[in-house]
Amino acid sequence: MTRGIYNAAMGMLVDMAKLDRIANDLANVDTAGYKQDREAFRAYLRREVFRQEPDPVESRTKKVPIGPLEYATVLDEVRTDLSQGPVEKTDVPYHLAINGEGFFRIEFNGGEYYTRNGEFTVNSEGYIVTNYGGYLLDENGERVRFFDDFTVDEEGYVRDAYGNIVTRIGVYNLENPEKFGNTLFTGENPSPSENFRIMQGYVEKSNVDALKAMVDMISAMRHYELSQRAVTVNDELNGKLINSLASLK
Amino acid sequence: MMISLYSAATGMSAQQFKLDTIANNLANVDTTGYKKVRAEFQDLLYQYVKNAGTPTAATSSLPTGLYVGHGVRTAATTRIFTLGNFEQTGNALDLAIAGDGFFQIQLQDGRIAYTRDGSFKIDSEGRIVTSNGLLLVPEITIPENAVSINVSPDGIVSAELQDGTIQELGTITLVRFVNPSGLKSIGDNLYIATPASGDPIEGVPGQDGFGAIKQGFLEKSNVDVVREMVDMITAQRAYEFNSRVIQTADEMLRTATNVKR
Repeated sequence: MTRGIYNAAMGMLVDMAKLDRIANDLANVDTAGYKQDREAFRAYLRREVFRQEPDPVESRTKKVPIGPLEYATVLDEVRTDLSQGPVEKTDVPYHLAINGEGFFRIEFNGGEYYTRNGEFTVNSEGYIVTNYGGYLLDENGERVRFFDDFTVDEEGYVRDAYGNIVTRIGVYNLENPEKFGNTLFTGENPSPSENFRIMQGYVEKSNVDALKAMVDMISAMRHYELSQRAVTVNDELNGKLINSLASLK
Repeated sequence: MMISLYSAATGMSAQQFKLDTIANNLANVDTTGYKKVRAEFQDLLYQYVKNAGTPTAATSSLPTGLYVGHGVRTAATTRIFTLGNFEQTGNALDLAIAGDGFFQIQLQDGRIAYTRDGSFKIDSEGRIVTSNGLLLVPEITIPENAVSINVSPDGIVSAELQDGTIQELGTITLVRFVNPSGLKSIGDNLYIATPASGDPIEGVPGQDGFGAIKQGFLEKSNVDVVREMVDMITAQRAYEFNSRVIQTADEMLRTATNVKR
């Protein structure tokens, strides 16, 4: 009797989860290096549906399976869309953008994280850092010293004002990258990336597709309304069941 | 359900802040030595319902996790120290630094502040001061009977006296910082040093990476009006998107309240 209400209500709950994801993406539509998410839902439970049939042989009714019924929708996973964001020219020598695959490696708070956000600056000791104090690491895992007249070429080699190679910025591919906050990712098995170009003086912006987010939002909204109608109708049917059918008058 | 409302609110808040910095940049599009400010954002923490890698059975684990984000925060307002254009004024004490470096100015309380604004004047005692009357450091006094003042590209100030002799008055030194974006702005085109900027490194104009001094020029604001306009459009549209999210969340909440009549 209440299964219909719960099923429809779960539909509404997943729409709220979808809206939470869209809200986070749109709030970060202007955050450099941000990657949008995609969620997937699945039916959580499954049961067999039967029909009653007379069984003259054994003179009783028997249950004949019709087929499976899946119900109860849940949010199954949230996956990050790592596609390339648009690149903005800023002309700041510390700003780096990755065109292609891979992440910068950042040392922050005693741990190693990865990011696409290239809005770097330089701290008072001359190390290139993010705006929350995380150090950019080179391909040997060392912090990078950077001065105004340094150049970074497409393969990540850092050269001083005379053209001598000082170090190389590390760009890594990750397995199962997970968002951490501060546009950082954690991940497993970092391996040096081959498929990238570094652009100095550019910043990779958010890859959020605002149009798709708006369309997803409309779709979630309307689905929510439909589910709500399903809950209400279920409720009315139950009301009829209780009040009319089982009435003793 | 409240998460989407608050996420969207952080988005609107961030764009409003960005618009404030754009407005300040545009207001100072004509200020001598002004350096534009750029707002930078970071996403907020994520709430993990399921972590990737959690075992689901004896032999398998989750390939991806289940999480929800909480919006955005303004992480930094970074001052961008690219060079502005130079305007020729012809005034003897209008100085521009063609490259890196700051003039040193002594504040009323004795602290040293730094500036790119080279529009200097002479006070009643002949000392070189800023438009607000603050002394240039090192202090240089122009003698009363000077006919013309010359500032060489390496900062040597000399005056031609009435009788035709040239008197050398002193050298203007500049300072540099490892992280000029870490300087704190105190208004009046002045900056003070902070732990983030590093200690001032003093030097002679034209050497060791310091810019040469150009007499008779002023450095204009480095604000690029076209870029600010584009950023303003982006900020407005991002603000609109986030307000739509709030409206949608509100409608969904209203729909939820109508489940039971």
